[in-house]
Amino acid sequence: MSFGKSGVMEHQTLVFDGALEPDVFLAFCAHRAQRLSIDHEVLGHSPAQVEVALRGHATLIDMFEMACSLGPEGSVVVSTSRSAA
Amino acid sequence: MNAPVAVALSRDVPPNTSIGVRVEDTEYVVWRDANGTAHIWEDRCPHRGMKLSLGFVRGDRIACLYHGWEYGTDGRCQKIPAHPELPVPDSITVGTFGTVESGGVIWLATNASTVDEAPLHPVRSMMVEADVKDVEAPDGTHVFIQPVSAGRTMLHICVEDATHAESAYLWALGLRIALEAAT
Repeated sequence: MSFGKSGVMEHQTLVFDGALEPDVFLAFCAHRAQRLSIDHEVLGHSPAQVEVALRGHATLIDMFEMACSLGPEGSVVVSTSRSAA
Repeated sequence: MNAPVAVALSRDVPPNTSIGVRVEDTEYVVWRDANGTAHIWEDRCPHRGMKLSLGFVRGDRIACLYHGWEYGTDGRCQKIPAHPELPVPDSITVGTFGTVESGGVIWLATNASTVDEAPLHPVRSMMVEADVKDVEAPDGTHVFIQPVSAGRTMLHICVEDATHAESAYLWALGLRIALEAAT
């Protein structure tokens, strides 16, 4: 996968906190990551928190965070945090 | 769906426009680019799910009404206005479907399908509040059936001879009354 000369690849770890349905939320994350050409790995999950490691273009990771913050039906994200992986 | 399904009269989708259609409860956008080529796609922007049929056609692209994401004729996103510097990944793609134009009608088809209708004159498209499987039409009148959803069918009516358009129009109105009365 290439993002061209202007591509800015980043490694980020995102944590979503809230009231989550893990199976549905993780499927949603996987779908959005695929759509945005982001490599993602689930580091941990519970009904209250999902943690994922991401590698992709910085702007696309921002889009991923926004999409997952809105989340699938049945999941409410209260807060997100991120750190460089 | 195996057989091609008529989804619109060609004249109802002029260049640089889009319409939304439904076939068996699935929604599609039918749009025609500036070069005159018709396209049938999933009626959903991959970004936020807005109907692309509400968007704008500009040249050989259709842009979503919501955030302006633009898609080329192959369905791939070409531009994200909020991030003009972003090299858009190929994975941001709208689902495309086989599109055939024949007999003055636009057909949803599998990519291997062909439709070979002689040139026809469009009369009208007409929604009927009934399930319609078959219609017995007068000689020279063609009725193409688009199943929309349970209890709802779109009929696309054409004639071989343009001078019969008015009589076909009146016949179609009577047909609708009869079909809906029978349900």
